[in-house]
Amino acid sequence: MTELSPVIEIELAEDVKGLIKYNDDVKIEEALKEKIENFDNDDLLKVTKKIGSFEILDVKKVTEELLAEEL
Amino acid sequence: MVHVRFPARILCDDSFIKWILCHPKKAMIMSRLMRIKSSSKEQKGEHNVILDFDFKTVKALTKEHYLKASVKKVSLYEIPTDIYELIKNKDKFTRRIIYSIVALCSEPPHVVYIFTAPSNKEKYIEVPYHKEMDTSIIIKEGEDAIDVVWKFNSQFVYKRETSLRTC
Repeated sequence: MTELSPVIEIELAEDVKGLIKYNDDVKIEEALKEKIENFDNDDLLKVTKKIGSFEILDVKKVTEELLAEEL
Repeated sequence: MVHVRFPARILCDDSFIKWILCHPKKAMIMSRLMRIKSSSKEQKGEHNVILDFDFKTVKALTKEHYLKASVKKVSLYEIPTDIYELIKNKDKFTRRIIYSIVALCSEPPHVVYIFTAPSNKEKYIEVPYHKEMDTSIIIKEGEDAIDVVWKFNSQFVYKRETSLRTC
């Protein structure tokens, strides 16, 4: 069975931190959680989530360098 | 968290999005648009918008998550039904202006910039309703629109720097 592609969303770090803090259903590795905590609240983050779940797979800060590569 | 009262909302048309995706500074422009959309005090997450019929024509041109982070997709169905019925078969320029008047100007900051590609401004100015609302609906084409993006971004940067200094 082929695995579905993950979902990618761009969110404010403040909102992602809030989601992790207040939603017990969120699954995230400790190292990734710590990485998110170290972002400024104003940072925009590229958040990769498992489709149909609250599992956060990866997070990257949205920078002009990232956009230049990916746009 | 920095929140900024920007002096106007932004409605992007499809030609503007296509134009900036070919612009040498597209990464910077998209990044600034995302910043404006997420830091708006009065319209957080909704400051910059694009109508659904325009979104449809541009969504395949780039990664959808970046497009959605730059502009929120909105629909003509949000306006009152009687007005929708009057305009649903009108040209796209008329529909964008009427949407701006009915859905966007009614909320703070009560002014809308419509961003379009170079040489498109005249098509908006020809729309009869635009003449009635020319202080509330301002058409910005090409580099004039980019200047607005830079100005709004400067407001954000200034606000962030002053808030850091007071901490």
